[in-house]
Amino acid sequence: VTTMTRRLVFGALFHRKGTVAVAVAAVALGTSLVVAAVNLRRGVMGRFGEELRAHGPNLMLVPRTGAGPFLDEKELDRLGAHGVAERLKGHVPFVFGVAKIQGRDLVLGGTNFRALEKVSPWWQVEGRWPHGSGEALVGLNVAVKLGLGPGDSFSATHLSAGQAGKSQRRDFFVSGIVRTGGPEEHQVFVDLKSAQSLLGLTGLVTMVLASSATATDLEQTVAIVREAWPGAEVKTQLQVAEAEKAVLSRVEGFLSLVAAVVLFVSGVSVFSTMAKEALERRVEMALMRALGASVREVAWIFTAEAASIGVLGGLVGFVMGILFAQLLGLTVFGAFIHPSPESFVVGIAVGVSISLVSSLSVVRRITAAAPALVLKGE
Amino acid sequence: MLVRSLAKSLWERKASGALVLLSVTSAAALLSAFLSLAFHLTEEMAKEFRAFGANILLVPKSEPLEIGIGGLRYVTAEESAYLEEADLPALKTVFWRHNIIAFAPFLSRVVEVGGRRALVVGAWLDREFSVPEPDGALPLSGETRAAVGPAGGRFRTGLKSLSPWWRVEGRWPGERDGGLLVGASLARELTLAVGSALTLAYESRSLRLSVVGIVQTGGVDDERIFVDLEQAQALFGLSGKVEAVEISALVTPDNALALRAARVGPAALPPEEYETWYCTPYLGSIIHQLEEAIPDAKGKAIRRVSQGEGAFLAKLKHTFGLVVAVALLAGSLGVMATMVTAIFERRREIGLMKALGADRRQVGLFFLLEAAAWGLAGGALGYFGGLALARELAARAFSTSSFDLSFASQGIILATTLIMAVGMALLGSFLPVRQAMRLEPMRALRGIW
Repeated sequence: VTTMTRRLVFGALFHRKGTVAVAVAAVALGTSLVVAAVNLRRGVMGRFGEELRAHGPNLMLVPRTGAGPFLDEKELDRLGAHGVAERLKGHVPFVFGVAKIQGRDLVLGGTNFRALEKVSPWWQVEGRWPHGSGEALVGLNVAVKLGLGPGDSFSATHLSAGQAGKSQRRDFFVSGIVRTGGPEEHQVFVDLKSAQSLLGLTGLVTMVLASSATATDLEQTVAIVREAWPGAEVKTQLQVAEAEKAVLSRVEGFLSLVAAVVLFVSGVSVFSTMAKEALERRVEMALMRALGASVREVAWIFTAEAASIGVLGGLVGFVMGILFAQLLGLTVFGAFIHPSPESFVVGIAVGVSISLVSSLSVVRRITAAAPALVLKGE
Repeated sequence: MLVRSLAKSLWERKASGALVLLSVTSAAALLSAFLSLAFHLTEEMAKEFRAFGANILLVPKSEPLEIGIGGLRYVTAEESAYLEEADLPALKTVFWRHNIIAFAPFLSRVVEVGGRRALVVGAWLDREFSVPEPDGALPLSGETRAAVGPAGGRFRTGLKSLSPWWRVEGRWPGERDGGLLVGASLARELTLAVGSALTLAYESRSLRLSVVGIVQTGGVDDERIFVDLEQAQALFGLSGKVEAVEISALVTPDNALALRAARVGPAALPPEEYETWYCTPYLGSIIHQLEEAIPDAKGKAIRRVSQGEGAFLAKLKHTFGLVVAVALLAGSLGVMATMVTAIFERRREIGLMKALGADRRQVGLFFLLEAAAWGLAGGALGYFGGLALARELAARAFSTSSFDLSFASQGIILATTLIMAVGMALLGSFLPVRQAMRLEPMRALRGIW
C-alpha cells in the first residue's frame, strides 16, 4: 500500500464528510436492526425461559430405589454448593407423613416456607404464609371439611410406629389457606422441624423439589445435580420440562424467521445507499483512471473506503442495536437484556460485507467503462 | 403524455426499478404476513401451552378429603363421591366446546399387586364418542349461538391426548385388550417388563392383565398402574362411576372483567357484562359452563398449569408486536433508501425534462406518481408474498398446518398493505424528489448533482 493510496482513501473519507456520514448512517441503521434482532432472539429466549419457570419445579429428587424411603436433610447443602447453586432457581425439601387432626387422618407435610414461596408462585394463599414454627398452611379442602380458617388453631397427633403406644402431639396456628387446584388442597403444611419431630423423622426428608434457573440446558443441570448428590435420584418432571421446550422452540422459530427477514430487508437498503455513494463518484474514478491508475488500484481504493465505512457503520450499528435491544427488554420484561458477544462479530461482519458487496458491484460497472466517456458525462 | 412517459419510464428502468420493487415488495410482504398472523398469534401460542396438560379439574361437589402419600391415594368409604361417566359427553356441548381440547375421567383405588400396594388408575386412555346435540339451554341470542357452530360429530380424547409428555415404552393399551400401563418406578421395583403378566387384587375381586407399556413422567404417576376405565370400574365394583375429570381447555388470559367475575361471582355481574364474560373463553367462564353441563360437579383451576400462562402470553404478544415493529421499520428504511438511489440515478433525465420546459410541479408530480406506481405494484406482490410467508411462519413456528382467514379480513389486509406500500414509497421519494425539483437543468444534464 503506497502512501498515495492511503492518502487518497483517508482524504476521500475526510473531505466528503457529509456523504460518508450518510453511508455510515445507512450501514449503521441496517446493522443496528440486525444486532438488535440477534440480541433479542438470545436475550428474549433467556427471559422467556425464566418466565416459564413460573410453572414451578421441574426437577424432583427422591431416594434411590432400594436406599430406603428418606433422604438425609444434611445433604441438602450439596445443592447450595458452588457450581450447583447457580443452576437452580431454588429448591425446597418436603417430609410427608400421616397425622391425626380433629380425629381425621390427614397428610401432614413439613417444608421450608420461604423456599417454597420462591419456587411455587402458583400457590395462592388466603391469609398469609406461615412465619414461626407453630404456624400452619392448610389446604382449601381440609379447611372446608374441618371448618378451619386463618386465625384458628388445631392440634395434630402422630402415633409413632416404632415406639408402640407413644404418640406425639403439637398445636398449630392456621396462618393461611392454600388453593392450588392440585393434591396440596388435601394436605396440611407446617415447618420442616415441627413436622420432623411430630412424625419422628428427625433429620430426614421425603423429597426435594428443585427449579432450574432456566428452561433450557435441562439435561446438563440434571447431570450436575446428579453428580453433586449421588445418593438422590434426580427426576425430570416431564410435564413441565417437555411443555416448556415445546413453547420455547415455537417462540424461537418465530423470532429467528423475523430476524432473517430483517437481515434481508436491511441488506437491500444498505445496498442501495452504498450503490448510490459509489455512483456519485464515477467522475472521480474516471479521473483516476485517466491519470494512469490501473483498474486494480482504483478498485482497491474504493474497496478500502467501503470497508472503512462498513467497519465504522458496523461499530455504530452495534452500539445502537444493543441500546435498541435494551429498550425493548426494559419495556417488555422490565429488565436489561444481556448483550451477546457474538452479536458484535455479526454486526461488524454484516456492516462490512454489505457495504463491500454493494460498493464493489457498482465500482466494477464503472471501471469497465472507458474513462473518457464517463468524464464526458455519457 | 404523462401516462405514456410514465409507462415508458417504468418499463425502461428495469434494473433500478427491480431494486425498488424488491424493497417495496419485501416490506409489504412483511406487513401482510404479520397482519395475517396477528389474527392467530396468541391463539396459536395458547394452543402450544396445552402441552402442559389439563388446566381444569372437575370433581364431585362434596369433594372427599383424600390421603395421598407417595403414589398412593386413599379416600374413606363413607365420604366417597362420584360423577356419572354417562354425563361426560355433555362436556363437549358447552358454549366453548371447541375450546375443550381433551379430557379424561379417572377412578382409582389402592390394590394389592405383586405383594405390595399400588394405586390402580382407571381412565379413558384413547376413547371416541359421539357428541350429543345440546338441548338448547344456552342463555344466548341465536346469532351468537350460530357463530359457535353446531355440536354433534365424533370426538376422540383420553389420557393419550391429555398428557402429551408421557413417554410410553411399548404401546398404549386398547379399549378391551386386557393391557395395562405401569409407571417406570413401579415397574423397576416389581421387575416388570413389556409382556409381563400382572394380577391386581381388590377386596374379593381380581383381574389378570398383561403389561403392554411402561410409562415415564418424572412425577408421582411413575408409581402407578393405568388401565382402561371400564376394567377399573369392574374391578372396584363401581360400574359407570368416575371420581374426577381432568380437562385441557384453550383459554384467554384473564382481564379486569374476568378478575371481577372471579371476585364477586358471575351472578352478580350486570346482564350485558355477564354475556360478555360468558362469551369469552376465560378459564373462569369455561369452568362455569362445565359446571352447568354437569350439575353435581365442581370445577377447579389447576393453578400450577394456568397461573403462569396468562402473564406469559401477554408478554409474548408484547414482544411479537415490538419485533414486528422493528421489522417494519427496517422495511420502510429500505424503501426510502432505494427510492433515493433510484431518483439520484436519473438526474440527467430530470435535467432533460426541465430543459424541455417542464416546471418543478410537473417534475415532482411525475416522480411521485412513479413512486406510487412502484408502491402499488410492490404492495400487490407483497400481499401475496406475505400470505405465503405467513403460511410458512404458521407451519414452522406453530403447529397449525393451515389457517383460513375470512374474505373480509383478507380484504382489510390487502387494503392496508397497498396503502402502506404506496405511503412508504411516497414518503421515501419525498426528499429526493424535492431535491430533484430544485435541480438546475444544465448541471443535471452534465451529471453534476
